[in-house]
Amino acid sequence: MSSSEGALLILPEGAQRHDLRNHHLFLEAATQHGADWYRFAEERVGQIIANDSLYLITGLYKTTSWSLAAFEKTAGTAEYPAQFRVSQTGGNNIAAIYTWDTTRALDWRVGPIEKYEIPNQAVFIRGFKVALRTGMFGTRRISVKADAPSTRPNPARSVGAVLGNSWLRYVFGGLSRGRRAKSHGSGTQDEVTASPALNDARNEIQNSGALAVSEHVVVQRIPEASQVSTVLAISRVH
Amino acid sequence: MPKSPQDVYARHLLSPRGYPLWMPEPSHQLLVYRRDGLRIGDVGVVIPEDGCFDVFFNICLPQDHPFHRATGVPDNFKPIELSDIDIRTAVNVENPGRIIANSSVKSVRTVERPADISSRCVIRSPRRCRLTFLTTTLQDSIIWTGIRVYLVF
Repeated sequence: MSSSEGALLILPEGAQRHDLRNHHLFLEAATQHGADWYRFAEERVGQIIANDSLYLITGLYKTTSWSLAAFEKTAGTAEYPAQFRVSQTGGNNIAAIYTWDTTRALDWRVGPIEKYEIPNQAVFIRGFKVALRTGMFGTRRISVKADAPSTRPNPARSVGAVLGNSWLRYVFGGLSRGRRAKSHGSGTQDEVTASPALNDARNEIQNSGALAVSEHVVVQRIPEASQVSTVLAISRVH
Repeated sequence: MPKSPQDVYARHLLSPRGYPLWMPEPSHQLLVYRRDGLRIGDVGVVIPEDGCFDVFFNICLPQDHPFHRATGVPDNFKPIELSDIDIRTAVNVENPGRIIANSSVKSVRTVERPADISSRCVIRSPRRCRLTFLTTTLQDSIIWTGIRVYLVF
């Protein structure tokens, strides 16, 4: 981690913390239905998303107003004065009350623009990262892990990559569960059928130069066309 | 490739508190989400470019909830009903005036408008940088009249 950049969150009115007490029902739901969730995201919400990007929120820090900043070093500077100010007028528009004064390059935000009495601003989120993985021989697996959400658009770069953040073990004590999908499974079964809509989406992307970056995402998720129309049987792996 | 503010922000403030969002405000247009914000059970993705959380559905809300009306719910959806006792809430876990910063913020500050001062607080940030600031009372909550933050590398 470089010391030439940094970040800052100011909570002028404090914050509340909300946590799910029992994570097991959520873990179970994500493990069993993760594949349905991915399909829903693509077909109904219409988002082409990386296959490790779905996130299930189990806890948050919420507040009524905030000010935050991120900065990078500019050449030659040793000290970086930036002033956060609060004025006493502005009503419910926090953006009119809080401000930052600085002459240097500082990315900052204040908010919200529309303030409610209820703390509804989520400054931190915690939860489960729900990933859809394709392994050797076309096996598909849902893995559910207490982890930070993935923000990388290209799954090829994130496969196998784990953020070195220790807060997850601290918060969840290592809750994790996997569920595998095999093309020739046995035992009690759920069925996952990939739909024609995914075919269409993939064709559309392959035919469009503008969406070339996303092509990899879809091809990663469904590596072979034959699997798209195959009924996959899922069995639990312990 | 230039880093987005969310990249820098999240990398430095990721902590036991969780993953920090550059856009903490609710992204959804629906009134019930705009008022209450993100909630436990939300399923969605972080949008890397602007650092907001885009909610697709919520596993605790019923299938016929207004939030689910627009796009529906996934196949095999069975809502997990939560009661108040299932959620642990700590109301004042961060005191008013809290600064959460990474270690490159070495910070000292001066109050701009001494006339507004009604109390004086000293806090320590998680990384031991000492911050002194002065507060005033506005609409029953303590907020700052002014703070000068020096970001030292």
